Amino acid sequence: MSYLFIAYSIIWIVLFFYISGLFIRQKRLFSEIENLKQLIKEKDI
Amino acid sequence: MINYIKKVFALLSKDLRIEFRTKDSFNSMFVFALLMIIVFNYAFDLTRKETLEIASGILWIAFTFSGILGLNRSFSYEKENSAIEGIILSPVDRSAIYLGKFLSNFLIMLLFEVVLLPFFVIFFNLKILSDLPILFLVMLLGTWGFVSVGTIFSAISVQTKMREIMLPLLLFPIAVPIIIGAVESTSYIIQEENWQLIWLWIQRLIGINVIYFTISFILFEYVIVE
Amino acid sequence: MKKASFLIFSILTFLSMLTALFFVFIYAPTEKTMGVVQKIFYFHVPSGWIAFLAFFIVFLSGVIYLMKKDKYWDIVGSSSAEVGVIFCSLVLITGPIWAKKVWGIFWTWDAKLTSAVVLWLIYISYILLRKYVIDESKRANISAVVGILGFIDVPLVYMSTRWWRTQHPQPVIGGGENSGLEPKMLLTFFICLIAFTLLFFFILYLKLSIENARKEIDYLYKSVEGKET
Repeated sequence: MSYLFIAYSIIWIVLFFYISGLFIRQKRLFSEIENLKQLIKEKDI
Repeated sequence: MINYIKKVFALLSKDLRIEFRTKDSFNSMFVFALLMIIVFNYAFDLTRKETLEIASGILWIAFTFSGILGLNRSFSYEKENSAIEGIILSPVDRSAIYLGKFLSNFLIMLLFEVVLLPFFVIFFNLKILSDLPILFLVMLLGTWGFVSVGTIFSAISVQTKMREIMLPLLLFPIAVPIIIGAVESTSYIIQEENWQLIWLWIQRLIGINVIYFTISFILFEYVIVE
Repeated sequence: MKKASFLIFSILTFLSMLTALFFVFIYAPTEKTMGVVQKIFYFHVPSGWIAFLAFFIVFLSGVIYLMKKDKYWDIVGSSSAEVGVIFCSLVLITGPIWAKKVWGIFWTWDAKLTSAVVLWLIYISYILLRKYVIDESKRANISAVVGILGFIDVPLVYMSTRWWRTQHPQPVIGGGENSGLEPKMLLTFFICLIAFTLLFFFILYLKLSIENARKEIDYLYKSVEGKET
């Protein structure tokens, strides 16, 4: 029973951290895009 | 067509001439393999029967690990001297470059194996004189397959930062079927099993070789681009 | 994919994973001989199939890239390889856990396991290769070639290990459960497979959007520099 628990925990933990990592990276990149777009707009004015 | 063959031959003779002058590859391969065989004798304390069972494996480990040394060099000369741009600019079909390199690697590695074999037979007390032709066939096939993927991966790894580790890392997983085929065939020859078994494995080796050689031949042009 | 549909996709994926969990632990009956541990199989095998699917996509993207030279396919290939390695690692971790409990041994060099390890190694080296290539313009070409050769290798390794193994019999792992699955178990298995497939494409989509964002940032930086000069 404990083996089962360990196996499933590993799967969920790995997937959770991996996907969270991707989400965080995505958020960071999106905000950088917003900053750059702001910068460009300011330069145009 | 004749032109093509001439070009392949020109590339081949250039590489062979370099090798015969320096004997870099050959010497390092030979010494390394000899050392491996000697270390194996210390590493395993075997009975006669056990030795016969694993002799084939030891032989092919020595061949392939030393073969990597030779393959590592095959493109590094050109890379160091930027001669690779020279070859690319010349009006040679990329596949001719592949064939030229493949043949030079193949012949050098085969020569090395032939020279190593007597030492192997002596150290392991093998009785293979009667089976020599078949053994040569297996060595030929195993080397052919190994070098066909080895050449293309050598061209790839020479373009990376960690070329000495990239080549084995790329090559060994891909070469597993070839190594299995070669080791099994050789093992049955050494242990004097029946012909059908040996022939069966030789057929499998030929099939794998055809697949790998054809695909490497086709894909090579994408690896060497300006 | 617009934000709304992405949100729906995310929720769908998450729900399907939860559904799969429910089916595995509550709906599916416990196997007679192996006991509760057998339930690892419901996540272990779909992970394996998804890893294989991922590497097939790497192969396909490689072929299409070499034909069309469209960078998009290079990105699809590399993203798929990374996701594939994750799932392949899960297979290699959960497999021995299951094996140790049921058969008492962590590992055996049979066809399936050997192929799994070789598969994992090939795609690790694919990822390292992309990292260490000196000339960026060559990276896509070289990756495509390695992706193609690597994928062709897998059936060859499987077959040659099978031939080798019939000559030298080894303990068989995981041969049993494919023979006649009870309908409840079959349903659970398929639900898990669907959940994992959704999960795979979800992660792949995330990675692709990250790569697109990176490209857009590069482009925007160039525009900013353009305006400064």
